[in-house]
Parts: sequence; C-alpha cells; structure tokens
Amino acid sequence: MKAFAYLTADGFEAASRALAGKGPRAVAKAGGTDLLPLLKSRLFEPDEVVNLQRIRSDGRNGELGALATLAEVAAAAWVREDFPAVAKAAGEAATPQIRNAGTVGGNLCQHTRCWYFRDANYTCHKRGTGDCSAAPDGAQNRYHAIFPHKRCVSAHPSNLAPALIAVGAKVICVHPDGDRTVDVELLYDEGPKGRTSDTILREGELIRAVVLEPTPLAKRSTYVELRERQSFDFALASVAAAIELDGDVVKDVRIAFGGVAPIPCRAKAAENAIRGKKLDVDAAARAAVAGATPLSDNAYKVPVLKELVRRALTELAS
Amino acid sequence: MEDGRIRVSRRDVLRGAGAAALVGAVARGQEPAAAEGLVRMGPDAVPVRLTLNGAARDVSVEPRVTLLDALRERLDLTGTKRICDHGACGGCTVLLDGKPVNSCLVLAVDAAGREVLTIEGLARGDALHPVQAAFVKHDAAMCGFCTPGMVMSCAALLDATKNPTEEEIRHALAGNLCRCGTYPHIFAAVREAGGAQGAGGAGGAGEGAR
Amino acid sequence: MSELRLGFPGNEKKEDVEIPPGTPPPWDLSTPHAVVGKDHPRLDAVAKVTGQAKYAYDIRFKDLIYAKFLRSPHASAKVKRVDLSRAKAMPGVVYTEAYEGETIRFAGQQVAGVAAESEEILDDALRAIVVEYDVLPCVTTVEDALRDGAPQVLADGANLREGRPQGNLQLVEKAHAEADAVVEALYRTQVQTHSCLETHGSVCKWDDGKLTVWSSTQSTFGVRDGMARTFGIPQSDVTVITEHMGGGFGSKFGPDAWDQFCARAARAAKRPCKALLDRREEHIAGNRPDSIQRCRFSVKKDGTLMGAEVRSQGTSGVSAGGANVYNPGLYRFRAAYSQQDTVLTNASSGRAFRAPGHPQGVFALEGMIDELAEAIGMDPLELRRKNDPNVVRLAEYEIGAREIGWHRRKKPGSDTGPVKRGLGMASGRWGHNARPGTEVRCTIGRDGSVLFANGSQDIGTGTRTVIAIVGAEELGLKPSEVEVRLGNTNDPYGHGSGGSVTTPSIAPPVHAAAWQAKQELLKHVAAAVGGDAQKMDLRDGKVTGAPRELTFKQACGTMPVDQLTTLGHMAQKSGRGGGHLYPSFNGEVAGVQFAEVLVDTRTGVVRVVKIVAVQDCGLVIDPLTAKSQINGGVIQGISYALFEERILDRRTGDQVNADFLGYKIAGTLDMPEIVSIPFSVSQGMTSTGASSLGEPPTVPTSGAIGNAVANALGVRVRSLPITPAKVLAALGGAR
Repeated sequence: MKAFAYLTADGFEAASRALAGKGPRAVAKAGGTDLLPLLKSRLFEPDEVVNLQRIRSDGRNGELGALATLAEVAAAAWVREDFPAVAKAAGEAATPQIRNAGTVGGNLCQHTRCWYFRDANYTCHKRGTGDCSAAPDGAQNRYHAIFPHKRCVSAHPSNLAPALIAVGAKVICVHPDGDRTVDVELLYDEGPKGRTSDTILREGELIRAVVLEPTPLAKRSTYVELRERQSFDFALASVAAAIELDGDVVKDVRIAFGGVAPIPCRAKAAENAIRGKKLDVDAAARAAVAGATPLSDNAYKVPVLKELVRRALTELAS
Repeated sequence: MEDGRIRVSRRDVLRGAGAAALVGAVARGQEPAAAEGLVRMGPDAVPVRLTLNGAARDVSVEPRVTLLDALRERLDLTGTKRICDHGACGGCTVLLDGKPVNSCLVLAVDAAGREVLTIEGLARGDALHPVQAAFVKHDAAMCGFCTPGMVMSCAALLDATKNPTEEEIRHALAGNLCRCGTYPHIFAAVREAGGAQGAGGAGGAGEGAR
Repeated sequence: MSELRLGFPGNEKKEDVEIPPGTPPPWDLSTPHAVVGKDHPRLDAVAKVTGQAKYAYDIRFKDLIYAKFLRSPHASAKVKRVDLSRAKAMPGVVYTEAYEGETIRFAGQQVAGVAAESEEILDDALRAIVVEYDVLPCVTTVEDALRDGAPQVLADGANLREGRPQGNLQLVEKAHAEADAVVEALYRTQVQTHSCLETHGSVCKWDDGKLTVWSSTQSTFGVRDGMARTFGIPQSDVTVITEHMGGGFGSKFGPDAWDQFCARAARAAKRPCKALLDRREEHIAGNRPDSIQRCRFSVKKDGTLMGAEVRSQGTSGVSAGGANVYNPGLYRFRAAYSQQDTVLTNASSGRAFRAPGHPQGVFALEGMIDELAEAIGMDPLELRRKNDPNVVRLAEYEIGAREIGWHRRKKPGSDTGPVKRGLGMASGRWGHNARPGTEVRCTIGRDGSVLFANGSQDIGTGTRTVIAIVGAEELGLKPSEVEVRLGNTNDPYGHGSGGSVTTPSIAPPVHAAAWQAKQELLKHVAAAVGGDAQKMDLRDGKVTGAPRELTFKQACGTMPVDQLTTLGHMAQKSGRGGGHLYPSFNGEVAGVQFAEVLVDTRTGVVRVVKIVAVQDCGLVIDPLTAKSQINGGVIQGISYALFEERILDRRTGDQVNADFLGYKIAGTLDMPEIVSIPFSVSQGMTSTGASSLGEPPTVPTSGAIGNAVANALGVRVRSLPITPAKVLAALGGAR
C-alpha cells in the first residue's frame, strides 16, 4: 500500500465533499474488504482515504444503512421476512469474516474481480490503459461475462445488487451538488474508458442508504447462485427473482442476474416471457439466455444461468 | 427497535464505548481538521490505543498499516498469521468487538477503541478455551499454521451458537482454509466443545477481553 | 536365530532373522505394545492452538530488516536495465541488488532485490524500481511448446525432452492383438501448486561470521549445507532452526534464491533479515507438473489385463525433467510400455509434490481400468481384484467396499433424476523405504527426565509425537513423560522429510537410542540394588525383574553421574553391500480409496459425499495422527480433483489466479464424510516395521472421484479438475 492520509468523516456530506474533485487521489473506505486488496496490489494509489466507518447515520424504517454489514442484513428479521432475496444474497456472500466487515454500500460499489482489471500489467478499458485484455485469443476468461459489453467483458461480482434490483430497491445518494434517489437497477452502466467503478455515481457521490419498499413482489423473492467451490467463491452466475402470482398466472415478476455481465442486470426478456401468463419456468429460462454471446472459455455459463432461473422461479412458485 | 423493525444502520451496532474511545485515540495523534466534519491522520505514523486481549496497548502506525501487521510486527503478537493477505483464507482471523474479521483487511487505526481478541488472549492462563482443548484432543492441528485463525472462528461460533450442528460449523469456518486437511478433526473438536459448553456452561470466546 | 512375524492378521509371513548384538529386538506382529498403536494427541498441539508455536515467519528481532524480490511480469525477456536510484534514495532502504542482463524464462523470475527497515518501506522501494525489458515471445502450454517454430525455452536444446521408453512395444501390440477389448483414451491433469500456508522463506542472522537461519523447510540439514556452500563457510558455522513449519508438501528443500538473498542482505546490513514470500510469489515456489496421457489398454473378457501403452507429456516449466507420471504400474499387465516426456515451457519450475507423478498417473490409469471393466461388462472392483498383485490391497478392497457400500453401485449413468449418484474407486502404491543415516540422541537425567533430540524437522506430520511414542514404548513410559527436541542442526543428523521416509527412518534410531539407554540404566539399577540387568525391563513406569520395586524415577536415581546419553541409529547389515537389517513384508505400502459423489447434471457441480480410504502405513504408531495424515491426503486429492488449477495467461505466461480466490483449495463446505482407516502391517526391514504415510493417501483420491463421476454420468470427464464447465461439456454442453 502506498502511504495515505486518513480522513475520518462524521457524515456522508463531509465525506462526499472530501472526495469530490480529487479523482483517483482520494477514495472512500467503508468495511475495506474490497478496497484493501486493491490498495495492497497498488492498483489504487490514493493520497487520501476517506473513512466512512464512523459516520453516525440516522437510518429510517425500511432502510438499510450503507454502512450496515452484510451479516447484519442477513440476520435482520424484517429483511428476511419482507425481502428474502436480499437476506439470502447477503448471507451467501463471501465468508463470515467478510460479512462481518463488508457493508451494503461497499458490496454495491465493489470492483470487478476480473483478473486483468486487477493486474496493472495488462491493458484494461476500465482502467483506461487500453483495450480489454480478457476478450482476445489467449485470454483466460472462464469466469467472465456471457453478456459482455463492447469494451469490457468482466463479470459483476455483487450478490446484493441483483437481489436489490429484483425487489425494486432504490439507493439514496449524497453529493455536494445535491442528493438523489436512484433505482438500483439504474445504478450501473457501461462506464467510459478509465472509470474503474461500475456505477453511475459521480465523483465523490456516496450511497447513504438503500430504501426497501415492502411489496407482495418483494415478499415472494429469492436469490440463488452457483459456485464452483462451495466454500468462499464468487458465483459463476447468480439469479434474483421476485414474483407475484395470481393462482398460477404471473401477475408481476422481476428477475436480475449477477456474474454474467459487466454490471448486474435486469432480465426483462425473461420477465416478459412469463408476465401475464401461466408460470412457465422453462420459457423464462430460455428467454433469459437469448442473446448470450459467450467468450472462448465460458459457454458453460449459459446452461448454468438457465438452470438458476428455473431454480429461482420453481422455488418461488412452490 | 421500532415497530418491531430493526433499522439496520451501522450506528445501531457500534458500541457506544467504541466510539468514545476512538475520539480519545484520535485526539492523541490528530492533526488539525482538514475540513469541517473530517479528522485527518497521517500519512505519517499516528499513535493508536487498542484494547488488546483485555488490556490497553499503544502502538504507533501509519494509517496504511493493517491490524494484522500491527499485531505481528509492532506488538510481537505473532500467533495471528498472514497467509493470503487478501481476506481469502482466514489465517489472520481475530475477534473485533466479539466478531470474527480478517485482520489483514482492517486498518490498525480503525481498531482504535474497539476490543481486539487474538489467539494469545483466548486461554485464561494455563486453562485452555474449550475449543483449544478439543483441538488438542481431536488432533485438529497438523502443521498448525491455519490453527489460530480456525480456533478464533470456532470460538466466535460457540459464542453465538450453543451446540452448533455440523452444518453450522462448516458455514462458520467457510472463510478459513487449511492445507494439511484438518477439517474433519476440527468438526469433531467443535462438536465436542459445543456440546461440552452447552452442558457445562464453560466460558465463551471473548471473555478474556472483558 | 529369531523368528520375525511380518504382515497382518490373516496374511502372515515368518522370517528367521539374526539380531545383531547391541541392537534392539525387532517389533513384529507378536510384540505386545503398551503405547504404540494407541491414540496420542500431538506433543506440540497446545503450542499450536494457543498461538505460541514459533514458525520461521514468527521470528522477531528489534533490528529486523525485510527483504523481497521484484519479479518479472513477463515470461520471456531480457532485463535491459534496472534503475534502483529512487529505491536506494529512500530512507530505510538498507540493501539492494539488480540482475541486469539476465534472461527471464518465466513470469515471476527475480529482476531486483531490496531489503528495508519495514515492510512498508520495502513495498514503497519495490514500487519505485524501474525495469526495462526486451520482451520475447513465450510458450506456456505443452501444445504451444511443441509447435513448429515455437520459441525455445532453454538454450541447450529443444523444448521436447523425450523420456526413455520403458518396456517392449511389440509385446504390447501382441497383447492387444490377443485381447478382447482395446480402449484408447486421452487423459489430462493440470498444474497444481503446493500452496503452503506458511510461504517459503527464512530469517537470517550473522554473528561473528556464523550464520543462523530460521527456515521454513523440510530439510534443516539441506538448508545448512546449501547455505554453507553458498557462502563458502564450514557447515559447522551454519545453524538452521525449524521448530515448527507451516507446510511443505515437497516444495521446501531449499535454500532458495530468496533465502540466499536474505542472508546476503543480513550480512551487508549487519542486521537480522527476514524474507518470506507473499501469496502471489508462493505460487511460483513449486508445483505438480501437468500431464497429457495418451493411453491404449486392453483386456480379455475374463478380466485378464493384457497390454498397457502410455505416452505422456507434461511440463515442469523451465525444468528439463520431472513431468513423469506413474502409469501404468500398479496392476499385472501381460505387457506394458510407456514413454514419458517433459516439455519445456516458460513457467516456474515443478518441484516434488506429495507423491510426485502418482496422482496424475493414477487418475489416468484407474480411469482406464474402469473403462476396460465397462468394455467387458465386469465390475471394476472385480477386475482390480483379479489383477492386483498386492495382498494388502486385496484385503483393503474388502474393508473399503464394505464401508462405502459398493453393492449400491449402479450401472454407469443409470441413476435417475437430474442429480446422479456415482461410486468409484482407485488404488495407489508407494515404496516402503527407510533411509539409514538418521541419528537420535537419548538423554536420561538422574531426575528421571528423558529427552530425545534430532536436528531434523516436524513438518506437521507428527514426527515429534512419533518419536515420543516409540521412545516411551521402549522405556515403559507415557509419551507425555518424554521430551522431544527437533529442528536445530546442532542436534544429531536427520534426513529431509521427503519420499515419506521420515517415520520409517527416524523410528528405528529412536528405538535403538531408547533401547541402549534402557540397557545402561538397568545396569546401574543392578549395580545399585542387585539382580540381573538382563532379566530386568521397564514397564508402566517401573522396573520389572529387579529384587525390589523401583519406579522409573528411582531407577534413574541410581545413576552414578548426572545423565546418560546414547546415540541411536538404524542398524544396517554388516559386510558387503550392507542393506537393511531385516527382510521386508512386501516392500511397498498399499492404499485403496472409494468415492461416492453426487453430480448435478443441470449445473455440472460435483459434490463428493463420502470417501473411504484404507491405507497401509506399516506399523501404525499413532492412529490419531495417522488418521490426520490420511484425511490430509484425501482432502488434497479432492481439492486436486475438483478445484485447483494454475491458470496462466497464454500470451504473457503470467499466472492470473495467483491468490487464494482464483486458485481454489477445498474448504469446509467442500468436505465429504471421510472414513480414514489406517491398515497396520508389520513391514519389517527395520527394527520397528514402521512405514510411509505422508504421500500414499493422496495418490488414489482423484482417480476414485473421476471414476465415481463417470459412474454417475455414464460419460467420463478425462481432465482434471472436474469443473462444472467440463461436466456440462461432457454431457453435451448447452442444452
């Protein structure tokens, strides 16, 4: 790690002010479980690290404070009751140790696990050092995206993001130019060259809380993922789904994917294939992978994703 | 608790004492505030007061130094191991305010004012913690390098869960890697320690720090 | 002449042997042991569970400095220029080296070294070094290295280093011609890194021209001698200390380049210096080479194995040898032929890794045996029984088949439902070897204290505990009543812990030292209280056969001096050729493993449900720690079968998963039920009949799992690791 000054903020506003305008020279730190490895490998070499952990946040009902740990989210009775996908996603993330330190905000803003992104010796669109190294011949991309973007084929690692998308959550963001509320679904996009983050958050903008609106859809939600290794492993693919049934007809449905695209994404084709119809998990699964364009080493993710969609919906139907 | 709903925000679970102690620790080494609402430290070494295995310990570290490196290289507590240094192996597991964390992913300055329990603080004098005693009996340590982290994770599990099932044990240890292959004997040890604890009411982890 | 009863109940072999004077009567099946063969907790367990055990990595000095290499990200390059100026100018940087002009042959090779007063300064200094390379094309796979026009990895010859053919190909062809079924298949195994939890390295300290090295090593004396040669100083001026060490598995026989650099930095700075690799570097400090095994095997309808023909190629990186596999071997074939080539690539060198060549060879061999069984419609266990020459394995098959419930095995692929259950099995062998040369000093104090000392190391296998048990047995004590000191080269010589020879080599000298000490002690007893020392013995903490009752402690009190000391060694045959004192039962250790798996055909995920491992290790000294060893072999085998793989970028030769996230080793949630059954065989050869256990139990695991997966699916994944991607591909891919 490069030496840095450590700025402990007493509020999101102060932290945001401290970060804005400094570019890569300042970074925010919450639990540190994503940031510290990036600092240790010197991928990030900020002069200042802004510490969010001492912020006294006055969380309101139905909010997950950005600094709540994954362990706290997984254990919270109201989350388990009304937003099961979210509790499950938080509970299956990483390891007990990381769930005790990693935060909601950090999980949503974590950086891709793409091994080419994480090694400064390779060119990387996200890091702005050239073309993506994971797509060309000779690249190792077994864990990468099957819905790649044009210039980046990384896979998004967040557990929480697809779950929050499925239950229709929003994030409240703090910035000196004004706070805003953003659907988690719209929090991510294919960034311009050199933007290491996967979110649309402006420089210095911080997530203060996640807002969860209890709905029949959110109450009937789940999260499933597939890991190569059952102990600590990032998901090969993950699916979060929420469904509202009227008899055996799908009144409404939201499905989101993780681990298969550079950002967590809503699976609208899969939703449309079953919305307003009798629940047909295979139809949803087929529609889910339509348009997948796997890389040299990850075609297996296509049947895996289909199966996860089937599993999630089958679980919700029962 | 409000209307039966927990507001899950970080403050709710931060112990009041921790926050108060932080103010003291920061005050001792702080520089003038960089801006409103910010306390600036470093990049040079700053004094940090830790509550380590129940006793106050002062250490001077740059903000970039992890709790793990502070323990090992500055406080001579070498029981905690650095194995992967990236939070993937659990070798550096310590209890922070009673909860297992990877000390390689915690900055030492962030541990200021919080209770840190390391493997050295688990036994009370010559009396081993029930987990430790069961590890000895069941041969749950081979080369022994993952053992301190494993023991801390097990102790935390037994603090939170009396008589854990094997499934609970496996999940609680999913962040700890062993290369020699001690897992089956660890499961047996924790089952026994959990049972013994439930029956005999032996002290849990973290007691040494209280 | 005495009679030595070797083997195991139900299969005994009696040998008439001469017991040389001055050596202990050998243990055999008729020996009534008091402590040998009973569960004993590890002597150093308390130190390990309390964090008090000191590893090389834990050695601290007030004025300690830290050393580390800067490593090349390129696998093939010339180091044009190394600019150390900024690093050298940093306060706290105390020593540097640069390797300008060197040829880089693998990613991770050192280009410069720095020593500094803290790890943070060291990190800053390494970051400040500027290196200019001439980057050259590299090859990272066997296939690429063998292509026409491929870059040549070493200057001294082609990338293909052909092995010497073994056996007679014509006889194999003839056997194939007479067979009823010939099966041809290609098997692959991956590169596995040792991934020791304590990384390689050492702490070096100079005092008046003498060097002390706290080393994470499997060979304290090897490090001592290597360091003495490196620095041109006498062996006697080097002390190597390894009180505890965090795993080696064959990769830690140093000193390595970083240890030597550490010692140079310590000498130059006149301060103790520590150099331990980080996790990324650890992945280049040894690996199990990969393999491509082209097999052509044949069998008669009655189950007679006929021809076995193997051409294997594998890469050991920049090492021009070492990619051999153990295939065919194991079973009786009418005729066998193999050629085993090593192919050079721009990758870090392979090193001995727990049963070198065996797991990869057995994965293919045992897969082929199952394929032959299927071809003739025979139960694969039955086919093995018919062709296995080892009587121990034949007995182990019965135990293993019963424990796993082999009768439940269905026809391949016949399990209904999307999650299919499969049963499979595989075998392994290892040599029963004991190396002479190890010496153990036994010191008995007049106060009744007993100390066994040897300068070699306990690498986590339980050597310390084995010594205590063997010594205590002979002295009529409990293992907890004797002290054992290991890991300091100022104590008597001991071999490196390799080839699974540690227990068989160290148990006899302990036995001898204790027996000699007992004879001396009893002489003092006889002198003091009368009676015939020849008729006395030590049992249960007491002297037996003496005119009056004496405890062990009272017996020690009869000594005329403060202590007595004996030096035990493994007696060899006198006269021409020497050789082991006693015949061996069958000269090898045998193991069989059975695996039960569940394979989800929709996701390709393999879950190992149960492993039964029946493992011969000669005389079982401590069943508790023996089970730990067997568990460990099995678990590394599971990890190898399903998860582990060094992944190199094919363009740069750089390892993209050089951590513990992308390089996946099995964790708690991946564990099956493991039934480890030590199978005690009085193996003879030495006075104890103890044998090898470190390597054998990791040999059959991946083969057994591979066969269980094939049994579940009805199609075979012939490539390790067996990942979801490969299972789905075998099942026909995207459905």
